[in-house]
Amino acid sequence: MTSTISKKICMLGDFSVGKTSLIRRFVDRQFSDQYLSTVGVKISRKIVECQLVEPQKQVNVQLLIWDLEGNTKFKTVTPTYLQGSSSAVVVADVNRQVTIDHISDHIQCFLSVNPKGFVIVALNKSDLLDEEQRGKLLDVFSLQAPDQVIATYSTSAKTGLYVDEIFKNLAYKMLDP
Amino acid sequence: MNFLLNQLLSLRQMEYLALNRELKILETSLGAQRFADCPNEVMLGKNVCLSFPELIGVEDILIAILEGKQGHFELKGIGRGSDESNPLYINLYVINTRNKEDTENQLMIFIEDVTERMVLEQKLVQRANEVSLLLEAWDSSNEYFNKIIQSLADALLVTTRSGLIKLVNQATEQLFGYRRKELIGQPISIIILEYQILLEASQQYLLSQEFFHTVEVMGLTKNGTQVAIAFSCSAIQTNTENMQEFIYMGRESPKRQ
Repeated sequence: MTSTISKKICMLGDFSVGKTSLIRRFVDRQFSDQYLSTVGVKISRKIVECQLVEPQKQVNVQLLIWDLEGNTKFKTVTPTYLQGSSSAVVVADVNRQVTIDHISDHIQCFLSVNPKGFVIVALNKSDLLDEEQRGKLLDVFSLQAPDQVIATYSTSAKTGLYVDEIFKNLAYKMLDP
Repeated sequence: MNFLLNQLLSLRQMEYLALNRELKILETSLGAQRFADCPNEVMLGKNVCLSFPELIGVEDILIAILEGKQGHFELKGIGRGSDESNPLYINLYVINTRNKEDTENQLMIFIEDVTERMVLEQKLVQRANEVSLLLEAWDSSNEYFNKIIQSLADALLVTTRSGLIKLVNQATEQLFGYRRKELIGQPISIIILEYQILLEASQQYLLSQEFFHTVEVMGLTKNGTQVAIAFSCSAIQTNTENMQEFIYMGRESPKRQ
């Protein structure tokens, strides 16, 4: 019998980096170029089927993905939104250095509420870079990433690049005892 | 829940749910279903997390409130549904209420409709973010052009029509031995001995609109050394007050040395 467990994931990052678009790509398989800023929080759900090896069985992980309002100079994330979340996706826009500079702040913010949590970093809008630039950026960033960052991906909500991988990776990691 | 409190809550567009220790619904107001993510799950005896998934992950906090270890918990600005033309936003407030009839504590969840305020906030945030993006793009483009100007091997000088220096690049600093701050706002005559020749070339450009009239003039460095410089001259019309500015680009000329 397949069991289903629910897990909460928070999407963090500066405004207009593509948090909502990544969720939309993953959950609805859709993308829109139109920018519509998120206020407050919106929760989306999707079930990921995970095949465990030991013991061999299938577990369905219902991901509750919290799309949080993006940080601005004047507004930071509300800590109560982060409570009870074992993992986070910190998103930056590869074309806006300032959003990459803020990645570590978002990671610290999440870990201050969930010290045992873990993070995946999404360097989004990567379709606007060539493969060499993407590789270079990943190399630079991976060197600086703290231990709680389990992976860094160059993503594109527009093309779908590494979008499913983020959430599947998190789902499996959250099943680890 | 007594009648008066029900009336008060409805005036504030608020609904409520009463829960037991297992987070199962014991009581619900008539309109609570409207605010649920899964309205069909708002039923007596069902776990509240089925209808309000935002409470998944914070069960420990809810129990702590029930046990009186924590005062309250609130989640504000929760958006419902994906239909952008029909938005719905709620605030959730969780408190502990002791039921007098039986001694068991209950959790009360109050749900407030805050759609109007959040829709307004969304419009404001949208505008502010769009302006911020525009400023970021402007900064970034400015930085890009500045880098190009600073990396030019030739000395670049921009002056007002009256000859006051407005912009210099790194090559200009190196050629004349001055720092940028020392040159900005100063008359170009402090570094160009034959400024009149440059001025005439620039005015000629204005008349003919031909690019790059090259003239050779003597320049004076900070330490008093005279250097021959070949300049190309042009002029631009600025957006502010329709003023003209002169652009000089030059390098040391081996001919007159």
